[in-house]
Order: sequence, then C-alpha cells, then structure tokens
Amino acid sequence: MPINHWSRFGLLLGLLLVSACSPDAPPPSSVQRVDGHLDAQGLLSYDPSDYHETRQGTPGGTLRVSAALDTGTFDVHSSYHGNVQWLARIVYDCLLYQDENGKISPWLAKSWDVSPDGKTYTFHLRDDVTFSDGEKFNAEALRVNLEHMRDPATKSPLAAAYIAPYVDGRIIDDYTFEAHLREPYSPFLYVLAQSWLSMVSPKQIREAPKSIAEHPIGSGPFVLQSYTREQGATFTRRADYHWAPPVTRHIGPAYLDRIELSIVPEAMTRYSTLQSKRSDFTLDAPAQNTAAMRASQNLVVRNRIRMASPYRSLTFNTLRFPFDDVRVRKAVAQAIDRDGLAWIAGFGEFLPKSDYLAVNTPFYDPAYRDVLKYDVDAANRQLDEAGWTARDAEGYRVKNGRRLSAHLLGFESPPFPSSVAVAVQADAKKVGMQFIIEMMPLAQLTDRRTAGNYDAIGGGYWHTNTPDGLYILYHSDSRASPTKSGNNLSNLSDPRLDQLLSAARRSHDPRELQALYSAAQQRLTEVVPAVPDFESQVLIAYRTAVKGLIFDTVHNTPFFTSVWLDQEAP
Amino acid sequence: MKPTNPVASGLARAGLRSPPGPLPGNPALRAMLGLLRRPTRASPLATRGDATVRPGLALAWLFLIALLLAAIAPHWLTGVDPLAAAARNAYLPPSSSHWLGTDENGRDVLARLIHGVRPSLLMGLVSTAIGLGVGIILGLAAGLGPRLVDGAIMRLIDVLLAFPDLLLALVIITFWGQGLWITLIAVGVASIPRFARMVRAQTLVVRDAPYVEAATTLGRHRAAVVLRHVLPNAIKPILILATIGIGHNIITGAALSFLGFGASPPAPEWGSMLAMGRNYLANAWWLVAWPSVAIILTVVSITAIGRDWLARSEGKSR
Repeated sequence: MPINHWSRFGLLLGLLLVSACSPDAPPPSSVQRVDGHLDAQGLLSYDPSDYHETRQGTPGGTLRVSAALDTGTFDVHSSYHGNVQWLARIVYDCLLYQDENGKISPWLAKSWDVSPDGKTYTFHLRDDVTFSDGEKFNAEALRVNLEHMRDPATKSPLAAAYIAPYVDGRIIDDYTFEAHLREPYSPFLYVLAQSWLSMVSPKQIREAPKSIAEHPIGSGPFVLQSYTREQGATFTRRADYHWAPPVTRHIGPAYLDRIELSIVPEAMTRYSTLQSKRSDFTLDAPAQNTAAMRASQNLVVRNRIRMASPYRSLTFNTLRFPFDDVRVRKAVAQAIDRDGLAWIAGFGEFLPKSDYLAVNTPFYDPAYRDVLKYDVDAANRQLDEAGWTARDAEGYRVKNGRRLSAHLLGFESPPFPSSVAVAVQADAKKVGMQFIIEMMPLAQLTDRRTAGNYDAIGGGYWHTNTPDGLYILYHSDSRASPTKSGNNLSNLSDPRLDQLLSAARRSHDPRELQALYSAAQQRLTEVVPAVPDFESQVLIAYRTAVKGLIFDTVHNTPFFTSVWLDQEAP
Repeated sequence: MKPTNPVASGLARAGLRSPPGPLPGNPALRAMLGLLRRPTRASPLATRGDATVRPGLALAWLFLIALLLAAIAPHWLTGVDPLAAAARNAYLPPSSSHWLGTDENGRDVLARLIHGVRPSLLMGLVSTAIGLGVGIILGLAAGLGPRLVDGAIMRLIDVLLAFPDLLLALVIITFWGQGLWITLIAVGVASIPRFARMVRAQTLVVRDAPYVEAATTLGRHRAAVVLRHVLPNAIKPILILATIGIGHNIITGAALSFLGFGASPPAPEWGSMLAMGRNYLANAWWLVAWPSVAIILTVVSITAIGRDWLARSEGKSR
C-alpha cells in the first residue's frame, strides 16, 4: 500500500530531522566483580585455597583453551609477552615459587641461603628433576640457563634486565649453585620465580638455541606436541612429572591428558565458542560479555589482579612541552575520569585506580590512593596557576600565544583501545587541553618510542611480583638511551624517588622496605610521571565442567597442572 | 538488462564479455532492487499525469536528498556534537534521549551517523570521479589509438582487473600510507579498470557510427571529432552506470575504514563505527545495527536511482 510507504518515509525523515537532546544518564553501577576480599583500607587479599589443590582430581581428558594473542615464541627468555605468564607454566618449571602470602618458597630449588652482604646466593637444588629430553636438572643446567638469559644473542627484553646484577656463578657440587651479584638486589629471588625466567633444557641451549622458539624442551608437566604460529598449540601430559611446587599441594603428573590451545583474536568468537561448548576455557574473557557469562549456569568468570604497576591511560614525556611542567601533568591526571575509563573498557569488571601500585602488591600503601583522584575543579585550578588562563576560539587554553596541546600516541591493544584514547581526549578538552590522537602500528610506535619522539604515550602496564616494578618504570637508571633500552618512558629523573627506590633494592628488612616503598608511592603522586587508570586484570572464563583450577601465586594466572575435567564434561 | 542496452550491445559487437561491474553481485541486493523496480499496480498516485510514481524510487530519492542535506549541513539535522564523549554514558541502549543509543565513548550514535554521511558520500563521489576520469582517458586512448596503444592499455587493465577492488586499494594504501585522501585515491584507482573497459567498448561502437564518419568526411579536425562526437555519445550510458559505481565505492570505502584504514579516531565514519561495534555485538547490538542500516540504505538508494536512469536512457522507463 502506498500509504505504508509514505508513512515509512515520514518515520525515516522524522528520525533524520529531529535532533536528540541528551541529559546525562546516571553513572553505571560500579559493582566490583574482582575476586578476593577488598577491605575498607583498600587492600586486596585472596583466599589461600585459590592457590592450592583442595581435592584430588580425575585424570584424563582434553582441555580446549582459547587465547587472544600468540606469544610468537616459546623461548621465554627472549620474550616479554604477557601470555608467557601462564604459557611457560605448561612446559617449564622455575627455580622458585611463592607461597599464598607472597613469600619465596621452593620449586626446583629445595632451599637457599643469602650471604649477610646480600651479594651471594646459594641454591640447593632438587636431584630428581629431568627435562623431557632426558637431561638432568642440576647446578650446571641452572648456570647455562642464567647465561642464556643474558646472552646478547637471546635479545632478552625482560629476563636479562631482571638478573642484571648477576655477575657469575660457581658450581659447588652437582646440586649446589652459588650466584654472585654485583650489588645487593633484594628482588633477585622474586624474579627467579617468574615465568620469563623458566628453566630450559641445557642440552637444547647448548646445541640448538634457535629451536627453543618452536620446539621447546622443558621440565614442565606437559610437553609441546605441535605448534602453528598464530593458530595454536597442542600439549600432552608428561607421565613421570612429580615436582610441582609444594605450595600447590599437587602430587604427581598433571591430570589432563592434553591441552589444545587456539589463538582466537576475535572477542565475540572466544565468547561464543565457550558458550556453545566448542571450547572449555578462555584465557582472555571479553569484558563486554562477562555479565552474560556470569549469568550463565554453565560458565564461571574469574577476575584477578596482576601485581606491580596498573594499566596507565598515558605516560607523559617529562622532557617535552607541555608536560615538562608538573602542574600540567597533575592537572591531566585529575581531569581524567577513571571510573568512566574503567567502565568503557571493563564493563564493571575493572577496578579504577589513581595511584601507582596494584592493590595486591607487597608494600602497597593505600594512603595516597586519592591524591590524584578525578577532580575537574582542582585540574582547572592547577592550569590557572600554571599560567594557562587565556582561551582561544575553540575553548583551548593558551599561554604566550601557544595552545595547550599535545600528541597522544597509541597502539590499538587491550590496555589501550582507541575508545580509551578518545575518552582521555574528551576529558582533557573539558579542562581546556587538546590531545591529538595518533593510533599507529606497533612497529611505528616502537620507533617513535626509541627515538624519544613523543609528548605522551597511551597504555602500558608493568607486571612483576615485587614493588621493584616502580624502579623499572620510574627510576632515572631505567631511562632509555642510544646505548641501552629502558622502560622509564616518562624520562623522569627525580633524585628523591631514585634514592628511595635504590635503597629498597638493597634492603631485606620488611619494615624498612615498607617505609621506603610508602615514601616512593607518595613521591610518585607528587611528580606524576603517568596517569594510572585501572588495575591490570586477568579475566578468564571456563565451563563448570572444568575443576581444580588454581592460580599462580606469582602471576595470578591459571596454573593448569591441577586442572581436571568432570564426568559431565562435553 | 535487455539486449537493447547500448553498453551491452556495444560490448557484444566489440567481442567482449560483459564487464564484471558495476552492478552489485550480491543476490540479496539484487532482490531488493527488484522490489524497488516493481511497478505499482492500481496505485492512486499513478493517475497523476503519465508518470507512475514508484514508492520505492521515491523513497530512494528522498533518502538521497536527506543524505545530501546531512553531508552539506549536518548541524541542521542534529544539534548534538558527534564528538561529545562522556564515558559514564557509554553503551546506553536506544532511548528517548539517545534515539539510536550511545557508543563506546558515550557519544550519540544518531549524531555520529549524520556526521558520518559526509566522508561516506565524499568517498563515493570523489573516488568514482577519479576512476571515471582516468578510465575515460585510458578508454578513449585504447579505443581510438593505434593497435599497439590499445594492446598495451588493455593488458594493463586486464592485470588490474585480476585483483579484486579491495585488494588493489589495500596495496595502494600499503605503499603510500594511511589517510582520508590516500584512501579516496586508492578506491578511485581500484575502479579505473571497470570504467576504462566500458569506455573503450563504447568508443569502439561509436567510432564507426555514420555521424562520426560524416564528421570525418566533412574534414573536421580529429580532436574536434573525438571531443564533439565520439566522447559525448560514448560517455552517456557510462555516466549513468557511474552513479551505480558510487554505491559500490561507498561500500569499498566503508570496508577499508572497517579494516582500520580510514580516518583516525574520533572522526565519525560508518565503517569504523562498524569495526568498533562488532566487538560488542552480543551486548550492544545498536553499535553495529545502525551503521549497517545506513550503509545498506545509501547503497540501495543510489543503485536504484542509477538503474532507473539507465532504464530511462534506454527509452524503456517504467
């Protein structure tokens, strides 16, 4: 009927012609769905049973796992990829582990001694551990691994830096190793528990180091059977494995026969395959689908926080205009609505953050969590005080004929989706500051970063298992130079902060460490090298048939050795 | 299309297969066009004079006019700033305050759709103009020039035709970098082969027409014969087909911006709106639905109008 056509047209035209006016909706509910207990002081603690096996599982079955990204290599010493956190635990073991309270505990090393001057570490190793090629794990294997980590040919971006103070080692007997450090370095034992410092077969390191990338030989609970870049990998159980970390309370080989890992970059696909039983487990649960997954009878969502540095919305280049002025940096930090950012990126799963250490990091001090909180009035006052009082035609602040404007570089990635860049831009505009967004491929961003050619860089986090992450990100020794790489993107060089962080590296006394790290956290809120936005979180989801899941005490990622599949498994 | 189509018959005489474009090959789109073309029987509007007003076509025109209005003066259609982000308002479903909902930055989807018209239409028009302009030059040179030139140009065109449009555009972007203008040129260049081939085929038909022969016999200058007689007669049906090509190029442009080769954020663009929205398909359907509907309606409208013109030019309209 023609009348229908015309009324349809009227509707269409109506839709087009009338503009919608929008009063602000109430802010989204900020129900926190983080695992663990967040107390009134803002400290987070987890149930100890998250970290050890509570009942024996049933052996057998294949676990189908999906992850968003491929690590690209199994040579964990040459990688800084976040996936290594859980991936290395499948094929490798570490020298040390941590207990439920974060204290260093045994794994391949039964015990250790530290000399009074803090420069000599003696490790007493297990004598019953073998790699899957039959090689024995012993003092020589440990020495070869430490050498491989710092071998320039390995091009290690992480492991080498973590053991930088290591000078040399002495093999006292087959199962006793003495490590000599250049200077006292209290994080040493902690970093040895991290996945990036896993133990690789010494035979493979000596004879075919290039083959580690695709055919790794470790001493772990599973053996890599096949690996196709950007597609996936298959792991099979090692029947003679019996050296899981004592803290996990797991005895004997892993329960699962096989793990099939698929690389699935599309968030929707990871969600829908899980929902339709075509996979059992995803290591990168899409935040946008967690509400539906939590509502489902058959799915479990877990949300864990990584220790050390939270996600940053941006890091300032403190050498460049306009961020050479700390008042401008502080104003930007106060202008960015972290609750909003946490909502658009995390759908209520992410914990907003405006200080510099994750809530579950040892020596985290919640006293300064609100110093840089969202406060538009304070931000405007800071900018006025800094002399940015005049405004141009577009509403941006100007001083001496120069607009308050900066370029924000970014790479589209989970910590920094372009929606976060746009939100930062919109928030800054509200206080009269212009951000010009430049999203670019990672290679181009790395070039600009290496050349120091940036005003501000979006995104980034630094996960480590000690508060020494602050040294890596903000100590003046960590600045990049033409001769050495570094992760202090802000180029901050603050003598007071340097002194605190250096002193903390030398100390083993918990009370002294607490005092030093508290002071460092306070100092960071005064010098504002970056704007944290939310905690660095691990979102995983799995079908209820998956049982026995425990978390890695070091990385808070899944530890597959104790996982088993229930009878009702599909 | 009936064999009376001058392009098709010209191609037949030139011994060529029917060109691959510019009609969209999508069966669903063809079905929709079929619906739009079906004459209305017993329509009260049909009594107005001789003209039968087909509601589908009228809707297409009205939609196109609305699009042009949105492209020229988007602020007349919406008072909302398409860049006004408010993170706490993100992912709101369609409601009375946000008719089509809000996006991942709390921006009004309707305002962004309206402001996204300009880049989309610009993509269609400018890239088609580039393709048509270069295509005419190459086609005329091939159709009228010496055999050697014809052979060289047509082999080049054959090589280019071997690449799908999108792939060719991607190759160009890879070589010359990203940006709105590079994307426009890339899509334009990708459509050159189609137009060049049509112009050549048409030129071959017109070249031997009696009126061209007459002009040559009368001693007109060769350039004058080409410009006054060959070009206008060869180009007319192609211009009409070019309107349909605009729709095709809008889709290619949206596809490129979907793949992340369009304008950088926060510029409103339909393709990039789709690309962002697809991650939220399960919980915020409106982020994908509205840009998709806008692209489909735009392409269907332009194609319907182009086909109507084509039919009229063949003297068998309605």
